[in-house]
Amino acid sequence: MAEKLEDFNLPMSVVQRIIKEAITENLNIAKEARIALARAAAVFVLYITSQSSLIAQKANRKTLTGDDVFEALRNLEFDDLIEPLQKSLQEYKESYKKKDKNVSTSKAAEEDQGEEIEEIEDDNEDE
Amino acid sequence: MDCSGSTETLNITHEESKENIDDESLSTNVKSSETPVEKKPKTQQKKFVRFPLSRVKHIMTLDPDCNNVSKDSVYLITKATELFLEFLGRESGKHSQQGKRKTVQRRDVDAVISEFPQLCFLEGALE
Repeated sequence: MAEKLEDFNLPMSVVQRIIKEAITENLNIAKEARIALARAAAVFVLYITSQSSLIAQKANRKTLTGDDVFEALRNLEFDDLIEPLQKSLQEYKESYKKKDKNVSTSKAAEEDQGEEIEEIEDDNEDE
Repeated sequence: MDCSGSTETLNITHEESKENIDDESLSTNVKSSETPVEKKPKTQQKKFVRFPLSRVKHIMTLDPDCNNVSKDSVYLITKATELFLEFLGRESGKHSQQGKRKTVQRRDVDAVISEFPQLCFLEGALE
């Protein structure tokens, strides 16, 4: 686990943007607080994943499904997130059904985006 | 892996050729077809998630119990993490405002974590 510490991290630039949008305009974020929030988000991913995996295992399934994630969120008392997520998933599903013809191109674009973000992150670290 | 690499390059060439065709058709048709053709793919790429899905998927697969993940589950966990980060950021901001400070500090984040019982999984995880 210690060897893969960097893989745990979500891109700092995105974390920064999301927090900035969430707090009121005239507030700043200390670097320490920003790092803690980024780490909290990554831990959250693992926390939900492990709970979802348990649910899938109990049902003798090897693949994590969307319903497993919903049930995990419910079990862990993040009920508030469920409703907006259901709406969002609906839109997402519709979008990739529409895109079926262009699936290949959109995948390539997605990966390009990911790479871009990683590059930005690297730049930040250099500074 | 080799196969996916080759399809990627194919996709890219497809995209480029499409763009070329679009450019040609635009130059001939000029106004009428211009906006709808350009707008649709752009908005679809941007609006759903801000964190790179590939990174979140990578973090998810660090869980030893997690073998396969569905597209929907990766999307849901990514979106949930964004909502979670927004929530954590907003609450931390409230804390520093209550203390009449203009910078969100690490202790604000810690205070939020101990305030909500659902967040106890983060205690000691942010060092």
